[in-house]
Amino acid sequence: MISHALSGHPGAPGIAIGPIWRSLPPPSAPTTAPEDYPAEEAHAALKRFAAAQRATVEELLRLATQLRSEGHREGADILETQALFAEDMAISDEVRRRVANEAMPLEPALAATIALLRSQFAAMDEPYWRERAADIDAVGTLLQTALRTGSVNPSNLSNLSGGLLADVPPHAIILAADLTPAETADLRGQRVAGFATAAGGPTSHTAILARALGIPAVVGLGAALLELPDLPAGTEALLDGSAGVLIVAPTPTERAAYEQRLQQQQAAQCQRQALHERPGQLADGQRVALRANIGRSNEAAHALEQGAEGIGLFRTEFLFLERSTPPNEEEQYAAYRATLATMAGRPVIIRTLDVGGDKHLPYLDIPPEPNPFLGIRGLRLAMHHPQLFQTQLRALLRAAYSGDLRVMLPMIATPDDLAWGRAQLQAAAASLATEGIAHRADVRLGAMIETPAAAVTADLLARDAAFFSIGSNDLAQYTLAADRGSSTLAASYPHDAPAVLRLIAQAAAAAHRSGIPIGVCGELAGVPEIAPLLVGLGITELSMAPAAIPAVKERLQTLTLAEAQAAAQQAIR
Amino acid sequence: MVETTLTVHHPVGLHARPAAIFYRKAREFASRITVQNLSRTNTSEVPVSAIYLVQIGVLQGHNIRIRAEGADEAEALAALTRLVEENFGESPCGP
Repeated sequence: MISHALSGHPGAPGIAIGPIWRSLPPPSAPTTAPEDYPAEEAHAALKRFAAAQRATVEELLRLATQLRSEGHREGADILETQALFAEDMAISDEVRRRVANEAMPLEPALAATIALLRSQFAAMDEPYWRERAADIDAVGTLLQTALRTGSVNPSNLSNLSGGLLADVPPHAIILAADLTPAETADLRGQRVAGFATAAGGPTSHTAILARALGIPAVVGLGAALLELPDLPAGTEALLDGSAGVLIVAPTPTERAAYEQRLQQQQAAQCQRQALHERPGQLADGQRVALRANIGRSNEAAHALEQGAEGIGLFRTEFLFLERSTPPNEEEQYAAYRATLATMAGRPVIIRTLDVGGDKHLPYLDIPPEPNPFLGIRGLRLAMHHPQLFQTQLRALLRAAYSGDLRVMLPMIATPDDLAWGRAQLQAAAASLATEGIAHRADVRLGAMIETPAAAVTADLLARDAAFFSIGSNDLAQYTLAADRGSSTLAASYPHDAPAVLRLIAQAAAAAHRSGIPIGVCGELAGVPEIAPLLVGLGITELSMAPAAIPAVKERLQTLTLAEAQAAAQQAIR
Repeated sequence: MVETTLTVHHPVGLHARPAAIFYRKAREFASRITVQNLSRTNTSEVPVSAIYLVQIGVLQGHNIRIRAEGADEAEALAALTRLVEENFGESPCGP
């Protein structure tokens, strides 16, 4: 038997070895000549097109939402972009022009439109748009499928009984002309070693889902895959997802090479698993709590998957932005409670609303200010809208029953700020008590250290705060007097400049003297090279984007506390 | 009909997330809204959609003209102007 080596696009990384399983080809693509299409009124054709667009958009958004809730942001973003394309006026206008003005049948009109847009994108200067050409193709395929079958997922059609994957042996490598979004998603429930498709590019839904599911895959193998000769049952294939390579009926030498790589891959995976199960610590066992920053309640699950030992910063702005009325107490309560439930007793630090004049909240009257970042933002906004603040505090105190909730106040500059916040919290507890509503009155209240004032007077704040969390992004901005949004300044005024590190050290020292914990939730915490310095300065908790946790955890294990402290002293000189 | 000319400051220009945010905001209004990239002479005035925005290729520093025509044209223009001037109200990038 000859070994067949085929090359396509990387779909999802990973090595796979397994028996092949060929799926039936889909109903043939439209190779019908335009003149052979049944005559159709332009109006009816465009109605059909609109329906196909709607079905496609719905399916893409459904998948995107699913991926996003599982933490696969990049995949979700791509699918959402494709959903925008699927209903885009540029496509509709061009299809309409061809159907109505040039009397083309719908399917060829769509094909010509997709081809035109694809070539426009492929000819663009910037790589980002050139890559979008593949998205145009992916959308074109989905739209054609929807037109042909009335659905984006036609696995209930043709001769497939029980769907594509009814008889797949375990650990097989699936070979298919293409996989619909639902079929790809269904692979999750199977123990499939990998798959290879003739169609698709690096950003087709197939590749995106494969990456999200962690299934090695190669896409875009083209005709070569479909033209493989009939092969005996049990014929093996080797698949290298990162290289976009498929080898069918490998020679013993080829197989041995892949076996070795597979073993290495599995060993690395076991190591990652072991690391995942250990808590954050230095080489000498000194514990460092590794927590996650999240912006939505449904990101907590992903945080846990990445090894988060708690939530160090739960940004609550998502509840308030992009709506015309403020979120009520029930809505907030549900969101906080859900996160606490997911975190199952692990600490969850929730920051109260932190917005200012740079954001537009239609239900809040924020007067225009020349310097919104130095103006009415964070806690100061709460002072101008005490009722809004009370609603949030009440929701938090009620949710506190569902786990280990801690409340954090943003934009603290003076002890009076903190005192005001604490009085408000007590008032919220009192109102709940009066109304006989279940709540916890003893919730820990902490302060963000993000202004130089807070860092420099951390000793005063420590008298009234249960904990500190350093917002290093804003602290760097205010300390170095450099706009954090400026890419021009970023190089010269990095967040780990000695000035910022010294303020962090000062705050940490004050925290230690008062016996309260102090963490960092800014960008610095998630940088493997800098995390050890922070620990060396006295920081005991680091909170970062979930994806950053494994690398930081690994890095922390490479040095002792003494080494971290020495490195920190070097950095602030 | 009302119009305005603005410079786009966002690092990625009018693409990706900024474009999506711009597009979603434009859809909230009944008025017909068009955009033209004045910094690229070979592009025309187009309706606001994801692909049309890609076709006119607005980069950081480019000047665009936004036109709105309809019952809520003033509101639409004001809202889109604010979006561009505030760098598309992107969510805070962190603490």
